[in-house]
Amino acid sequence: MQVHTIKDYRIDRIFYIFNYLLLTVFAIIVIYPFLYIVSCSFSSGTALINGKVILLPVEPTLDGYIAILGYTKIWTGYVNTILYSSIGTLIGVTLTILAAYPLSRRDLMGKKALMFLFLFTMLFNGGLVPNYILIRNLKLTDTIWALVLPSAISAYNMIVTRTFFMTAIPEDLHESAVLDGCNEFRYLWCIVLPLSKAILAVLVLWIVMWHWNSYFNPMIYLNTPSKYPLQLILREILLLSQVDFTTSTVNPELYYHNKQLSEILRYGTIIISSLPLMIAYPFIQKYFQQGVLIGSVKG
Amino acid sequence: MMRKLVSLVLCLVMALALLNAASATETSLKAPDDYIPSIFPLKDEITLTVFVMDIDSGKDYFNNYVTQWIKEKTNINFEVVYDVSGDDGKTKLNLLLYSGEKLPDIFLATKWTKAETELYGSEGIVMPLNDLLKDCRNWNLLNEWCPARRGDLTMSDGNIYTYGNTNDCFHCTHQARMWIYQPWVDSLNGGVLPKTTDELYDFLVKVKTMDPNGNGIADEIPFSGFLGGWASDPVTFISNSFVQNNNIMSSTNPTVAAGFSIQNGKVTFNLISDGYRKALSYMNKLYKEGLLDSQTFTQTGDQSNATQANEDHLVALMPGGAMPQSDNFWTQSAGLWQDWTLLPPLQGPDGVQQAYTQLNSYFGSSVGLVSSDCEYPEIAVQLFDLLSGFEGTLVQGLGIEGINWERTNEGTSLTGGTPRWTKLVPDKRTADGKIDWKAYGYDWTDDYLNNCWASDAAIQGNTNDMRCAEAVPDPAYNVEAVLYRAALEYDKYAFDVNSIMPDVPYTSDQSKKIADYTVSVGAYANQATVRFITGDLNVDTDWEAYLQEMNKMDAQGYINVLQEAYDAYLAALSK
Repeated sequence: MQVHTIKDYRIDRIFYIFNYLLLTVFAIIVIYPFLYIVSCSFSSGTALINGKVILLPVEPTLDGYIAILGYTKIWTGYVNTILYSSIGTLIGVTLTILAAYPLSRRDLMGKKALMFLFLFTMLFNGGLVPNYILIRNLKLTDTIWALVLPSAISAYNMIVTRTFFMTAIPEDLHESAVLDGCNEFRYLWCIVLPLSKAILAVLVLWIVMWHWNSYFNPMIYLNTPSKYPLQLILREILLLSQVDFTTSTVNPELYYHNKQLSEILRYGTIIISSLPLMIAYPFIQKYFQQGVLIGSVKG
Repeated sequence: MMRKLVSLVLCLVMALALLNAASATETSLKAPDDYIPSIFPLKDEITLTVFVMDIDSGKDYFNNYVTQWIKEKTNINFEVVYDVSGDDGKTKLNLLLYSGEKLPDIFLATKWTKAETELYGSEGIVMPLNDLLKDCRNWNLLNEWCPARRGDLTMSDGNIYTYGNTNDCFHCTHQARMWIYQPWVDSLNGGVLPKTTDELYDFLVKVKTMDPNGNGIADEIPFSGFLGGWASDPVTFISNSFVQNNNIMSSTNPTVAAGFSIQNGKVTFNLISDGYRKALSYMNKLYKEGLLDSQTFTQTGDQSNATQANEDHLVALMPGGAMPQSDNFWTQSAGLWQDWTLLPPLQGPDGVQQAYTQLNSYFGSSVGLVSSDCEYPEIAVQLFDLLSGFEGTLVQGLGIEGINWERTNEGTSLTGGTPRWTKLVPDKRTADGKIDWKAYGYDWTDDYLNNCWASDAAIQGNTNDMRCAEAVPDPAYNVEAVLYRAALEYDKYAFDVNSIMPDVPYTSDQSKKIADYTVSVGAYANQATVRFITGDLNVDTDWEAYLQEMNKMDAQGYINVLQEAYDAYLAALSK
């Protein structure tokens, strides 16, 4: 009887080579734009306008970052973004867990009806104008609460969390806790949460990213520039360089100045606005991988 | 006898004085003066809330010098409540209008189209200003000096909702300019600029074959261009040597009635005419023989700049509102831009020789509206009137008198006459070269953001004479002066003013149809233009198919809608 040894078949080797090649190509496609932006942020203004940057920085200079340091709007934006993200995440995670845990318990009355209500909001939405009127009637316009409260619970997040609770926390645990005299809140706080680190990490990541990147809601609900988050400031910087010449009679000097400023600022701003999340991600990645898969419904 | 003599002399003197006065008003500038409406400053301070659609200039309207100036002059608390920009800004404005909030008193700039302005006016969101404006001195004067102004601001229901922004940009009216590289004209053409399309062809062939940059490689690109810059596409300039063409391909917004002109009161679509076919045939010839850059319709502005920045000079002919390699031009210093000469319009084989011309827009981004929730509409309108005076115009456009500009009569103006004002460069600087506003008593940090308004969201009285009354240290380097002289050159070949389709107000039905046609017929015409030039479609054999496709897309309907609107516009004007 022939025994196949552990060494690879020839066809396997070809497959591996092809696989690695393809993966390398994908990796380059993904990494190159990122490297390009990093290089541009370290290049000088004239090199950027003349389009000389390809991969490595041309005329390396810290001018871009110095200009950013002086552009105070960016820093107020940063503070605002951190504030909105942290408060938003705190509220969002708390509310999502408080909604998902009861729904994950088999002995909850009216479970089906409540679940249906949550699902309904995933499919149907009031629209922009009714939302705006609602926020305005609640007197929340131009405050942080307009950004943090309406989007606190996303039905999708809630379902993923609920599935996690249902599959990872056995019912027996609850029975034995009750036998020892544990009430529901204590059970949630002392037993369930410490076991749910994976899903907590996932929730935090998703909600922080949502708040960090949001620009549309802040733009609609916030009026004072000192409350704008970073993404809104970045949007302004990008818009600075787009002037329409046929309908406007632009002051050419101002146009050129704005274009220079926009070129110098935009790449650096992109980097500093994505940097915190990029740094944090590798640390959360371990939990993230576990958590995302757990959300899928099994059996 | 003595008495008779004395009285005769007196009469003569009086007559002379009268004559002098009469001629003084005749030669007086068509530019605003220091008139302040009599109701200012107000006895009791009032607050007017303001909405402004900041046209992507980054200006900070909340913390701005102009607000201070207004308070000084009028005792009005000019409170900016909303400052939005971009397309999403429009969404926000719509939310404001329809969510039942109390509207701001003044809409400084809204970027509405004429149709939208009329719509909101008819819904009662903004009020008609016809009666209030009758007493406004500057309004009446501006309408006198700029004859097209009143017509541009009157909607099809006869109402005027916007005060309008007067910012006559003479050089923008001929913005499709062409620049030619003078050193190669000198070396290859004996210093003589090509005057006809045939002479241009010969010159471009010489550039391609005779290696004028001397590096031994035939890397010269005789004729280049790109889409997306300031009038940077090659088609407009060249096609005007064959047929009247006001369609600028290189713009993000469609031109008013692009490709149309009025001949004897009838709207004609020039992009399906035989003259246009000949223009495309000529450009196809240039493209085929490698004289027109193959990257013209695909490259971006950055790529074009990179080509220009090449060590050995490559390009001989380049379109644009400003000349190529213009970095130093904008900073008003010497540089490579001086090697480029303006090329006057060429004469085509049938003798057509015209320069692209557009009309000044006074409607602009829909500036100066008063909402129906305003309690002091007469004061608001008088405020607009004040803003379009001499000082108001300069404060909005440049900033603080004494720091950014000052009155002067010394030196030469843009056009070589007596100036009335001049720009100043603030000399108190911080360590990194920015203006040190703290030294002047202001708490701003950026050079340009807080001391004045954006030129599109302001109510100015910048007539041509006002602009030209600027004192310039050296007309040879001053940006405005150079572009002004360029436009003067082109003005000799301007379109007949009656043949230009004005920006007529459309009813909402018409504007819906026109919006559709612009995307179907207009976009198709542009695509087909590129395909004919690159040879993808054959100019001789596929022209019929092109015309049929145009018919299928209902080009005739497009013409009819414009004709309707134009006739209604003429009728409303004559009322």
